[in-house]
Formats: sequence, structure tokens, C-alpha cells
Amino acid sequence: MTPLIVEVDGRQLELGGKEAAALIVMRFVGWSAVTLSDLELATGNYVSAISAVAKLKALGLVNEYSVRGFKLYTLTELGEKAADELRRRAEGLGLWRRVEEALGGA
Amino acid sequence: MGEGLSEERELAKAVERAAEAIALMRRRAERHHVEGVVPKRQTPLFKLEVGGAQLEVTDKQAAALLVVKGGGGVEALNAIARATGLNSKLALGLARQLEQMGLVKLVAAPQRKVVVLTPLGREVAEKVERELEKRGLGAAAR
Repeated sequence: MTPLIVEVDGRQLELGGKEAAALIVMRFVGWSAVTLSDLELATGNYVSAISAVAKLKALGLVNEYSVRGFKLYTLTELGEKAADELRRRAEGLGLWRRVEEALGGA
Repeated sequence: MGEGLSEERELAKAVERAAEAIALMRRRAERHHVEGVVPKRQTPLFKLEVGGAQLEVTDKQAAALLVVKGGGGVEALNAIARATGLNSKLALGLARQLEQMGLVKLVAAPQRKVVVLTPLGREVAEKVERELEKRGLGAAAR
């Protein structure tokens, strides 16, 4: 698997495909936070979601709020910029239409 | 060159995966959609001096702030609803009202919502607590 290298604020971030998918979902789904089960949809399963969150938190891209047995995840400012950069690249390659369809089809 | 192509393929897969998740999440969210309504029956409780300005705090706003402060600055919206006796629509409206006042940040997914005190909200919650204690209501509020 080739990592995606995203440059944000002079930092080079190395992301796996599932982490990139999680970032795109969090940024563009249209609400301010997501649950772990949302991230399971983006990454494929529970284990991948946990692993993606751990990596994204370590990179400073995601915040975690843990309250009364459930967790919510939001993007940090750096996470938003990384997701925007992924979008820019996807648009350049003509890949973004699928996300627009998903957003428009709700 | 080859690496660039592999990266493009990886990005294409990530976008496809994200698009499928977004479509499903938005369909699921329709079941959880709640429109917030600001509670009408609120009694002004305090006029507090905060940052050189006067801020009027109602009974329900004060209760909500104390609940969030009691949770360490982060609390589930459900807990505020229980403590204030409001249903989920009204509790969401109250949280949005507090957010507009700059006292909390609402962190919301359709099925789960969390309220986080801002630094200003913490200051106001502490003043509310002190004011209640002055009035001999501190223990009752807790």
C-alpha cells in the first residue's frame, strides 16, 4: 500500500487510504462531529476505525471527546486543512464527483 | 512515476470509500434529525459582569452551565435535558442559545451531541456557582 503524502503548514503527513477516507468524511459529511460507528463506515470495520483514529490523533488531526461511555471525534484546524488538501488533489484528478453525488443524493 | 500512480490509485480508493460512507451516514442521519427550539419559559436569574459587559443568565441557562461544569467542562446534551427537565428539542435549543452567547461549543453528530464549556462559559459558570452560594442555594444547585 502506497501512503498518501499530504503537505500542510510545512508538515508532511503520511496517511493510509483509510485515514484519508476518514478525514474526507469528517470534513465534508456536513456536521461537526462523527461517532466511531461513522468512522467504521469510512474505514471498513471497527479495528480499522480504532487504528485510523489513533493515527489521526497522534498526527494532531483529530480531537476526541469522551463522555458517559461514548466518544465523538472532530477535526482540528490541521485536520481540516489536510482534508481540504485531499479534496484539492482529488478534484485535480477528477475524482471528487463521487463525493458531490453522495452529498447531493441525501 | 510509478509511485505517483500508486498514490493516485490510493486517493481514488479513499475518495470512493468516503463517498459511500457519506451517502450512508446522511441517509441514517435523517432518522436522528432534531430541530432545536429555544425554551420559551426561562426566568432571568442573574445579571453578571463578564469581561466588562453585563450578561443576563436565565434559570435554565445557569442549570445547563452548572451541569457541564460538573462534568469537567464536557457533558452530553442528554444530561442537560435530564437536569433541566427539557425534552431533546428544547435542550438542543438551549445549547444553541448558550453557543450564541459564546458560553459553550456544541459538538454534534446526528445521533450524539456533546456540550463543551468555552473559557467564557467556565467563568460564567463559576460566577453562577458563587452567586448561588451567596443566596444560600449552592447545595441545592449541586
